[in-house]
Amino acid sequence: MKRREFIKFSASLTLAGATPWANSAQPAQAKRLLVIMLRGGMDGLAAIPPFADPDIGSLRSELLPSNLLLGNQFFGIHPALPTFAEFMAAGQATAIHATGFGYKGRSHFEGQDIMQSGIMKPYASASGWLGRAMRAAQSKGGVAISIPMPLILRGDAASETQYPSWMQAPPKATYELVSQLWANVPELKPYASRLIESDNLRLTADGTPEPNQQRRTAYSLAKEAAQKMQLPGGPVVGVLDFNGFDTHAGQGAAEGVNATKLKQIDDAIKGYREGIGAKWAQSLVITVTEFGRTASVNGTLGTDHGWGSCVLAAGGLVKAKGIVSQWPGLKKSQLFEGRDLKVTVDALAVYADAIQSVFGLPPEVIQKEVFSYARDSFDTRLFV
Amino acid sequence: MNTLEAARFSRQIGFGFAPDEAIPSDMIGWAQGQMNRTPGVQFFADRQGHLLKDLPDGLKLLQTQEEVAEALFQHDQARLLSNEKAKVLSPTEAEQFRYEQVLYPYWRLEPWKEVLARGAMAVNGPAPVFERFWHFWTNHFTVSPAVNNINTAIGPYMRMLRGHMSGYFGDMLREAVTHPAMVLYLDNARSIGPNSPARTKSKRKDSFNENLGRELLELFTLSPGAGYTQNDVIAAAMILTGWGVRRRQRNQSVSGPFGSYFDDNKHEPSSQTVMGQQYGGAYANRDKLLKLMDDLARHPATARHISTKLATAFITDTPSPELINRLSAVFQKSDGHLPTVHKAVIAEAASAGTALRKFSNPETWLWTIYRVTGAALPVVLPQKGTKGEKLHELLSELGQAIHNCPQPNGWSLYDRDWLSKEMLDRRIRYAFQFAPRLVSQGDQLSEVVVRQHGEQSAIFKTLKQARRSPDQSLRSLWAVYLTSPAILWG
Repeated sequence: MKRREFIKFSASLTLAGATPWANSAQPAQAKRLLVIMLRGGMDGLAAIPPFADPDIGSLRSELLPSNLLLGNQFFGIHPALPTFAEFMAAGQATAIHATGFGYKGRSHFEGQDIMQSGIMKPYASASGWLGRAMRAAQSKGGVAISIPMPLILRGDAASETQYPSWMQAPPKATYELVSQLWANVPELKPYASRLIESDNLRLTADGTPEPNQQRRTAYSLAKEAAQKMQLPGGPVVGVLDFNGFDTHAGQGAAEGVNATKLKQIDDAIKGYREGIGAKWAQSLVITVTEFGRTASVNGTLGTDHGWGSCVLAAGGLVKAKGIVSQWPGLKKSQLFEGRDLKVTVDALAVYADAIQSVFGLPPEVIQKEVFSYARDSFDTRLFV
Repeated sequence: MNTLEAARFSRQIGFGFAPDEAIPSDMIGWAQGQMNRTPGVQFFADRQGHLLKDLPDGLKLLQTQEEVAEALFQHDQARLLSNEKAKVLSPTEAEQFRYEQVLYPYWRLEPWKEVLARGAMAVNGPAPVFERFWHFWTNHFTVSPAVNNINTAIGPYMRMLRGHMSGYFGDMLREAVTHPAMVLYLDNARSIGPNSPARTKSKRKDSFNENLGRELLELFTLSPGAGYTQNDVIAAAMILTGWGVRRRQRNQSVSGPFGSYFDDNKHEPSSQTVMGQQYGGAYANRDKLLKLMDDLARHPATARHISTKLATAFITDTPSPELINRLSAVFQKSDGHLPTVHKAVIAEAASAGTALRKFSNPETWLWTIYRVTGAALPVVLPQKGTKGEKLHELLSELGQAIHNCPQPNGWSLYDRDWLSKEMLDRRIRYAFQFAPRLVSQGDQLSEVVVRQHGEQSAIFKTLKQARRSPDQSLRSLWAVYLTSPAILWG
């Protein structure tokens, strides 16, 4: 397929015409957003391989699974993403390809700061774009499924962290006295009032603590988050934090290190779907990664730090059908600095659309309160 | 410093004073005096030099390269054998075999034993301030077993870093970057020069990756602010090609060499340029990396990077430019002499006084609550079904799995990254779980609190008042004290 035809094809998969911005049928608070962070630099060309691109074979045949799932005539879906592929077939998932941030520095740690802050200067912001979006929408209380509070959710003081633990909580009286001491300290004050809560410990039928290993799989973590989020008044936003996408060596193709990581994304989508119940229709699950990887396989059957990657999204709020892309091509002259997939869609434009969908914030407000992004990245809404 | 100021300072740069420990009159001298030599790592049970009892027979810390080589070889063999067994045994039997031969000895016992030793040095060792700086360096040069099976190499690697703390940064850098643990962790062991003899002769397709080359510039030395480019990263990666490990082979009866190992055959032969400096030509292939690391160690950007990190770790999240300049000057003038640099950090921390304080990360907090209370370290084997605390699992539960850091940039040095509800709640839960052993030793709460904070302190007054409440048990009061701001901030 020629590039122009292809773009036409993908554009026809998205709905044309403008939707009124802040006027969705559902009240904004009813909607739910799960963000899955993929640290290490997710290889977009492995997750959603452009198998019909004439140059992909010569660049990375070693990394291409032979049993790709069908995306469309140009893109396949990695076999470790069967749930995602099913949702896409049902019109409830999309991939936006050749996405990325303005940052081109290829450092994990600067990149991971930027993907969460939404500010293109590393380490320049104490708050994250989700936190600011929630603040702008006056929508409080996200939940990060992790022990530390990730930057992306900072900025909304009501957001929390949770992660399965085997440690039993002390009695209420202990918490009360701790709170009393903490209330006088600015750094601890936000937590002082929230300490006395239900026990994190979960017991099995015979009364013994449930093993953490079972509760800490991608599937279980997402499901537990979703079960909390589906409650009326539950957290509007959830964040999952996965690492290990930095596949410099022995990345694998259909199976291997990278396939295992991709399966975590798929398991998380599956777990969320099962936990969220009827709210799936008002849900959006979306991935965030700091950068993509080199278009070509490197010398150690892996890939090095690159630029463009892709964003995966699933849920009832997905409107764009199939795979959306302004494909830059993979010829050496088309690659960024001759080595990385070029970014043609600002990832922040995708997240802006997600923010608009979930929180009902218009683009003007997002530009002002959350982050500045390239509004002309695509001409139709990706999400309802 | 008066006694209370001294007690506080010891929590900022160490783990606090134990109940039986004399508080020295010259605190700065006390702390700086620990910087000159490296104390050996031992399983100390108390400050009188007794060792922990109930350690399994034959349990020891691997020291020599031969011991590490043997352990890595045995680990590989066990893994291969376990894979073979999986084909013939029932799933339950195969799992049992894998647990006994692979999981237990290498994935559980190794980190358990290393963390226990690390705790023993922090809680009962003679030089707690030295230990804090050691924790800084093992974090700066982070390795973790996540990708490659290097569990047995991590402990010896960390103790190698320790040895260089009484010497120069450049030497530490050189040995860290070429150590088996590091070249395996950051994938360099597989990196081969595209025009190396190994590749051109055999027409093999494999070649190099940038992982270690990038982190050498970004994390270990210059940091991105120095303005290196992608070409510098590639050049560094090329200079690193050929640096790998030579593992003992299956058919050898005696351990082969294992350690810094350079294979000329896999090295990219031409010269490379990093930050405008050319490497090659006059240098032998092997010496290119050593020369590059010498230059990086002496680069002003490295002095700034290390100084900023040290100030952030020990003094404040937001060190002033003046503070960084002063420490950088010491670093450069002393040619990266670490005892000199560490002493400067101690002096700066002391002169900053209580104006600048740091929130303790989970590891520092854990060793602090053991040291200030005089509690005994738990020796509970990390075996399936054994009840009680295994320190490496406990640190993981508190949010800082010391031997399993998720990314090569190490644990955060910023206070804000250790403040979350889940993280704080876990400290309260653990403090409550920990407290009964203090209660059983008799009522020493007042004594400890007065010694650390004085009778006029808010924490003492609060606890004294709370003791009258029927709702508060002694156990609960200990938990409250150990999670009070007085202990959470060093």
